[in-house]
Amino acid sequence: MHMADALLAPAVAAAMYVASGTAAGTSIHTLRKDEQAPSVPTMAVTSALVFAGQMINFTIPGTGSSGHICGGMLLSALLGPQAGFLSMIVILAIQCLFFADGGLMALGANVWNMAFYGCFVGYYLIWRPIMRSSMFSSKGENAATRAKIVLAAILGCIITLQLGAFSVVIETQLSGITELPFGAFAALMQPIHLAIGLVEGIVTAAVLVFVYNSRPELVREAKAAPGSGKRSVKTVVVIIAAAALVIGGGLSLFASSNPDGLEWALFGNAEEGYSENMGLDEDDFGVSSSVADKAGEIQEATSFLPDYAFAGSDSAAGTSVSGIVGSAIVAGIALAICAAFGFRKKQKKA
Amino acid sequence: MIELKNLRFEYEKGFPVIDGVSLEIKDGESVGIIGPNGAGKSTLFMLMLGLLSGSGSISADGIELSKKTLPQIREKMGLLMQNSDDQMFMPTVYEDLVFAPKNYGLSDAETEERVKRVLSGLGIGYLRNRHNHKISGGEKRLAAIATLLVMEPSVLLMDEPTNALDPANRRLVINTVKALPQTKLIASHDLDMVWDCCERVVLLSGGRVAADGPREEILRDRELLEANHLELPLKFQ
Amino acid sequence: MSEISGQLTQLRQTDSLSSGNSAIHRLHPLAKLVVTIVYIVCTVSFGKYEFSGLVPMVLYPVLLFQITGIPFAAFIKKMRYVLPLVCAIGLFNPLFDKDPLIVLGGLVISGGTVSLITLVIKGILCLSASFLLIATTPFDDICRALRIVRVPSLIVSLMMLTYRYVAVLIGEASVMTDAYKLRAPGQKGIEFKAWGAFLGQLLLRSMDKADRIYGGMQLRGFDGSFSFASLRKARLSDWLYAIILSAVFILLLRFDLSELIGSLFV
Repeated sequence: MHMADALLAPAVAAAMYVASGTAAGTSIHTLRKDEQAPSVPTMAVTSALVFAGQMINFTIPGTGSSGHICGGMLLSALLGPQAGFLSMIVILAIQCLFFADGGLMALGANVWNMAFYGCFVGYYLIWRPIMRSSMFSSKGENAATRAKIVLAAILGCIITLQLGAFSVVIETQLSGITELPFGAFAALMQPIHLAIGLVEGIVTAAVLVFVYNSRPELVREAKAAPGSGKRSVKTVVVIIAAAALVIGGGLSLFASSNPDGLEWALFGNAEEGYSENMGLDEDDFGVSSSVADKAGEIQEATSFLPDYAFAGSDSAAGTSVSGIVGSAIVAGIALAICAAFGFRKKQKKA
Repeated sequence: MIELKNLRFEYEKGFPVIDGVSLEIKDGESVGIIGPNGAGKSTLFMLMLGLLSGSGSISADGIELSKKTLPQIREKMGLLMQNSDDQMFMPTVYEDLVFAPKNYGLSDAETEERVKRVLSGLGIGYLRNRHNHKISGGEKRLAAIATLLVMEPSVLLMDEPTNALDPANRRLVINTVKALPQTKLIASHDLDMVWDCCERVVLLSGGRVAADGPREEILRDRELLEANHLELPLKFQ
Repeated sequence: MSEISGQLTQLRQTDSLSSGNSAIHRLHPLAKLVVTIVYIVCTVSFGKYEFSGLVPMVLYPVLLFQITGIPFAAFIKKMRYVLPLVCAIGLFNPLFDKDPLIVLGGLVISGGTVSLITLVIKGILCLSASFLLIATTPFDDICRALRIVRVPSLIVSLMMLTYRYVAVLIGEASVMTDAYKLRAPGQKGIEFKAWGAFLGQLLLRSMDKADRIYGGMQLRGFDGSFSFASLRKARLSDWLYAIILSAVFILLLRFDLSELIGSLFV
């Protein structure tokens, strides 16, 4: 699910950096005040371990393929959401730089898609409510906790991966780099990540159960008294279901009526020459709201990068015949540079 | 002078790892702490440095170990950890060397002087700017020793200093340790090294002091050693 | 077995590339970071049909590979993670966007094809910029540069410390995987029964390791903050590098150089 730089528009990437940066800032602030916060070495070593752990192939029985752990859920279950989030940021940064798994400009988006959902949504909306609930209480304390761990891990991984995958779809659509219609893209991403989420959930559950069996104090909320949650599981389920309905229903309305529905809804029809304020004209098209105005302002501020074309636009930015000829010449220059350096190296050796 | 009086510690209730240890160590002494696995050697060091707290009293140069005196005690006593990777956690050797001095508020000038002195004293000046994750085990061990010496402690606690070293590096560490003038407590299974470096040997077994005497007495006593899961040093076999 | 130790080798290779001594290696890390980001942002900002405008951006990585002497082959390996997704997504473009955009003699090229090619090239160029950054700048220097631009110290410390132990822990995972493989011939990965125990054991050992490290820090007076060594001062050459290259990229974005050159001939 790691996104490359090429899949994002700078404005979208910047927005995601702001979002992830804000989450990181709040996390740091929370951790500073928390006396139970894990130490920096604990966070660092656990990050390094999860980083290594994500390379391990867990063979899925019955198929030939392999699965991996869900870093976000695992880290937040061990370190808490804030420390887990920061640890995931480090993991994603190292993956980006050393393994080119995800782009540098896309790091903000990747952090949001993989770490934010995994650590915050996963922890506060799924892990904690389930661990604090009185589910499975008929089984006895230990067995009940184990069952809750399994359920929370699997559900958490599935849901957070769905959210992450969906975010990838939205981000690429907003960036306008693909002709693939919103609905079709989502229809591809979501089911794949459902399967991945299920597998990752099971693997993560297995690891957490093992840790719980050996050292229960390492697993967050494992010792929580059943029924101590402020929010009952039922409430959480209702919240999630409602959110899914609203998002899915609302957006699919746009997607079905117009393949470029999302862009149309937010940015107006570019063919009408709305490249200046991106179609956020209250009188004629598009969404009118203070948020939309703000978005327009941001777009303008970042529009020192001109010639930025959306899907369906036939603005002047394009490629002409002389452009192609020029490109060939530039390519020739590049080759000449390589040859020149190669020649110089040979001369030095001789 | 270090005084340990009736130390007791257990990880789990009913299973004491240190069960009434009393020792007196004079300035400048080199004492080997030997014993089978689980005898409590590492635990003893952790108690002496306040990383664990049990019962009994610990004092170094008249200062009794308590929460308030922790910084003082820790400035006096340096610990060489069993695993140098655990000890060298900064990106570069240099940053590890200045870690303690900076935390204790030494000036930049004083820190730099000590760093230079320690590095040249150990002959590892070339390691100064190297990355910790790239140097070899032996180099890391020597660098770890350097990070202790830079605080100019009067006591050195060393936990398995020759562990996992190849013969050449082992010999280098032994020679280095022998030449150090500080009071030394060396916990090790490497009985030949203990013979080379220590004039007094304490045998710890089941959390208690099973024997305490000059090296000639303890390390030549085959029956005593074998009764405690040990053997004569190789050089005497 | 081979996958993890392969990753470790890759990590070490990239790490050792960064300790080279070319003119680019010697530049200030912050200058290189800034230039990389400006390059990526500019590259990505080209319109989806602006193939010819994009092409001159190739010269930056080409020049850098030559000046630094970093083997191109080291870069090729890196493309396998994100490039497939970029291609997969872009592959739909020719299917949906069939209007002809360029006519070269008898050859008609659709908009979708152009946007696909442009997208893929953007992908490769951005990857090359990130790669060249890490291949010429040690990771902890990048972290120190981040500190200069006010990235919170907790995050930077965490990055430095994690990186310190990444090789150690991958090494441990690798050893455990080897040990497992030797007792489970014919299995490609860790089988279901062992899922929990395998990583769980590693995790527990790591927690103990972290406790020991923390203890060692406390023994040396740790008060909660790390003071890492700082980078050298920026020199004129660093400033010039950052400013001039950034300006060039922005100009290339604004003006289609290929078009200009080509129009001299056509």
